[in-house]
Amino acid sequence: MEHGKGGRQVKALIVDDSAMMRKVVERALRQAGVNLTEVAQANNGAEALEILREAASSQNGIDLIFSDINMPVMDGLEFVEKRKEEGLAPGAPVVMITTEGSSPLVMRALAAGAKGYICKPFTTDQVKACVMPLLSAASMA
Amino acid sequence: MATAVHGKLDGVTMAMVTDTGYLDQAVEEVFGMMLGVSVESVGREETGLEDETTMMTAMVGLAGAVSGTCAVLVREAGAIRMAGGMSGMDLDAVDDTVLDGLGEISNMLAGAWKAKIPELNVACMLSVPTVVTGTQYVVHRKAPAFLSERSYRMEEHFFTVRVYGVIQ
Repeated sequence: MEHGKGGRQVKALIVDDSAMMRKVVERALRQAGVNLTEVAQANNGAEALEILREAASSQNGIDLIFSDINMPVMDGLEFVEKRKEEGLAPGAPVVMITTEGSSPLVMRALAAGAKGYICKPFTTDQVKACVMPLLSAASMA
Repeated sequence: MATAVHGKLDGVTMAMVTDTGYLDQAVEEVFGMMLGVSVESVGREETGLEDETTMMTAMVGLAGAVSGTCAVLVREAGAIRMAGGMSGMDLDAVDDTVLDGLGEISNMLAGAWKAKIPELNVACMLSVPTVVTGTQYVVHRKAPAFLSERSYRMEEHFFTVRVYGVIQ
């Protein structure tokens, strides 16, 4: 399945308390060839849950979620756990973005349903290698 | 700088946290991957940073096997260049984007530094970054048990990375 230009259109949700990192992630996704048609942004897990609830009620599905772990208000770990509890965007793979790749928090996030993680700093190739298989798997599910 | 008191716990040693080679690797990774620029290490005296009246300092706290701080010191122009390079935006003054970007750079440097030390990587957590701006301020710190510091040049800009604290 091709997700690049002309491929499957992808609506992404990027969750990070840093506007800079949200911009960097969006740019990396586009450079990786993901055909982003819409990018929703949230400052923390609580905002992200609201976006997912709204998307669920409006049938405007999110296809891919990128979330930081260390955020104020609600961190990425609590976000993925609550998302799982509420069954929000169940088909959208969640990728954690973190500076702490070996952190127990990452392991807990994976246990809570995150499908992968990317350590900062990252390259476009690393983003591509992580995301493309997840989008392919999601499209076949 | 190594002492018997702070010698070893959880496998983290004084030699590990004072190895400036780890700082060099972390800086090279972060600036190469996120900004696409190369940096070179320089002597601290060459930077003139301590004498600067307008400075920015980004700090990330370390907690766990090591308790301390990772700090990045840079002039405003350098911070603007860093944030602009990271965001791909044309920035010309210190604003929220620059503060955000410098904070993220310090966060990534702290993460990349501790990732070089496996014993530390699994046993040390990072705080969210704090950025201090202003003129002629001094960051006071309790006498650290260890200090690892290096200064660098990125194009015409200088910055210093400093990691200090105690091994718990």
